Amino acid sequence: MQKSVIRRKKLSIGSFKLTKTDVSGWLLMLPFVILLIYLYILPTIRGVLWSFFEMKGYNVGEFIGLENYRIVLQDTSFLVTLKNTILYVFWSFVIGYLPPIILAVMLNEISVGKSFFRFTVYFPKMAPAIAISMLWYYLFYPNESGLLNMVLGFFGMEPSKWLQNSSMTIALIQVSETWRGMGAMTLLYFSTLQGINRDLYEASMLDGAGLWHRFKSITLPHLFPFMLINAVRQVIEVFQIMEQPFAMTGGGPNGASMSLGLAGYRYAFQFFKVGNALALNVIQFVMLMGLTIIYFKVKSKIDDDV
Amino acid sequence: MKRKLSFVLAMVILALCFTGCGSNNDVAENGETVIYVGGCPVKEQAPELWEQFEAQRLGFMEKYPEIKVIGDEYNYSMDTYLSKAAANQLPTIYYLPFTEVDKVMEAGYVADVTEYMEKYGYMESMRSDVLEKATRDGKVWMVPIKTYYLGMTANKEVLAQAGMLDEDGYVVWPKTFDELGQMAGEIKAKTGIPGFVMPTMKNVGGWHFMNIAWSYGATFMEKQGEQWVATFNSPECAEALQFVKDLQWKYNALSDNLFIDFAEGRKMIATNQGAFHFAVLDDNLFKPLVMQNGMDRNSIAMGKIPAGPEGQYGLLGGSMMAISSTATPAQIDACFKWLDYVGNGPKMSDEEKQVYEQSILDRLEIGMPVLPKNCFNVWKSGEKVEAQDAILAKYTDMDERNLEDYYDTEGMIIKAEEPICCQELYIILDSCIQEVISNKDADVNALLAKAANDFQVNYLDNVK
Repeated sequence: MQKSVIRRKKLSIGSFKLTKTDVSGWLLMLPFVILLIYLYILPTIRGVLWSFFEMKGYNVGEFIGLENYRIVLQDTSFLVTLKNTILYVFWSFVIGYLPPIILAVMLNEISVGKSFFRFTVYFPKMAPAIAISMLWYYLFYPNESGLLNMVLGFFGMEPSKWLQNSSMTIALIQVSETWRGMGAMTLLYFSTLQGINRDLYEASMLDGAGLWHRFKSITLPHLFPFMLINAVRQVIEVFQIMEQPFAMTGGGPNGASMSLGLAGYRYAFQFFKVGNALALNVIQFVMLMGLTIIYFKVKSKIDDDV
Repeated sequence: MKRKLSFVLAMVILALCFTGCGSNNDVAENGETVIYVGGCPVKEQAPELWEQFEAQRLGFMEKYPEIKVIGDEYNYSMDTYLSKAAANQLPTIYYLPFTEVDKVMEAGYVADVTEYMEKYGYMESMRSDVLEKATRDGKVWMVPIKTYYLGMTANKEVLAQAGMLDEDGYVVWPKTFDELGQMAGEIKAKTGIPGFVMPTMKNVGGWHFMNIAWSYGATFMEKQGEQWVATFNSPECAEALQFVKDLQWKYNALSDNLFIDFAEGRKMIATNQGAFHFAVLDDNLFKPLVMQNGMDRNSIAMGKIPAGPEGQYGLLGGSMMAISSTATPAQIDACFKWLDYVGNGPKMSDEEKQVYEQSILDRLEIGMPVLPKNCFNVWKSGEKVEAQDAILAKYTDMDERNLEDYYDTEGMIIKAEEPICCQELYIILDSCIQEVISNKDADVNALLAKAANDFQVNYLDNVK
């Protein structure tokens, strides 16, 4: 009976069929769909189109084909910048991938003061940006008055130049970025852990399983799908890194921490070469699109498995 | 009911999303010409400044009832300019530093004001070298209102700690770069405070380095036929860069912190963490030093950048007023009336003298230093400059002897920025400076060869 009612009220547009319930849902989504198109899809399409034109500010000039792409790809620093961007991704995994998982597992295991620790973990995300930048400024200050150098001094070691050492710059920027972003990721992992049936842990404990065995046999398999998705998300996010090198090193020393995102910012806002910035962003977009496709493939495989 | 509710909710959200879209260049309301004036102080942050602006605004509208002035808090910033311009949200008239003039003109966001410059007497009264900065293809695109040259500031407290003031307590200015290096090194050796603050980031290092390089005889580019060619891979520029390297490795005069931008450089001087630093004598110096960090105005001394083998240079800088390219002729005319009213025009009637005097009193009220006289004016010397100087002399709260060396421009070569791709050049030079300061073994010649090639391939070859 219910089925026949729904069938009678279906609205067909070609092969696309809408029920009365669908209409209500779509209507509610309409503003967001419009905004999505207006704020994301249209600018993206426009950006791709404009990258083939000579731009004066945001005024479109004559069609110049691939000229903007030639300028960007022939830039003598392009390959170095691309390599740096990949290094950002690499260091973000080495430094930043495991800590949120470890913290989430620890949070999940403790029974006293859980709320306090959850707040503490999330605190860096809430702290004012200025305070955080001051904190890292004094931590990495490259003489004896720097906080980290004081620690080195305590152990009788020479002060380090930290961010000024070009071989360490990207890794250290990722340390600060991990510290700042870790809280949010920890809470996401934590919420996944909270979804695991506690009976499984209790049963395994009755069977005599230790902490490591419980982690390996219960926690990890449940976390793994989220870990995989988060890995892809992290690549996409870090590939666009801009603010941190801009604020901490300006891309230096001597270009050692320059990223594609920062190069795009320079083209657009420091040089007003919007066409070049768009071409670089399209190149970045294509690379990220490839990664996004991988992301969705991974996600759908995981969804199927689950 | 549910569907109706969904529809209403959808429409409300849509309406909210598009609320606020609009232009900042309304032409008229009830026959009035409306202009939006940028740089209006934020009431909550600076109530005294806001009140001063409001008094000017109301006084102007009383004099010109057909014009309505609306204060706009926008001040030029690299991050927001393009977006504001594209959305037609720029004020009708706003401040712009000299360094940004070319980019903005090229992007087409400023109005041709040649006709009004003639009409209001700017063309005949303004110094030709200043006017040239606002002129392209025979047309004037902006209104220069302030100008200066890059000099060198000194923190007298730090110099006093190092025992390096003369017997009257004034700065003995280094005449050559070698003297500067030695003095700066000695200051650091005696006090532990960097003797010289060398910026390295966000284009500022390159901007300051130009002055040193010119003094050593370096050139940065020249036009050969239709093509611009980078010329700074030269022994002269290498000598200049070697001086910067020596500041760190020979004289040991610099800060341990490599990453110094415009704000950090000024903060270091203001908080007694640096002795000498290139700067200009205007509010860009006073605001961070005196207003934000509470430095005693009479601890600030100002002199010239030392001379190199090929002369003593100071980079010409300043600020202009830009008028939006979407402004109507009536709005442009109203903007020029506003400029005249607030004392930025070429005339100096009794009324304008009063407005200028009031502006000086306003400065004193909020604690902003008042100079003893104009140093480097946009106007050819004449009645206006004399009238302003008389008012300044009456109210100054600074010791003129601290500024004598800067005021004396005899023998100085005050040079405008390079003709094209300045910001791109400064960024490339920033990198060279970072490398020579952070790496004792940096090869100056190799760095300049790479930098000149990068500048040529990445920028000059793409100039049409």
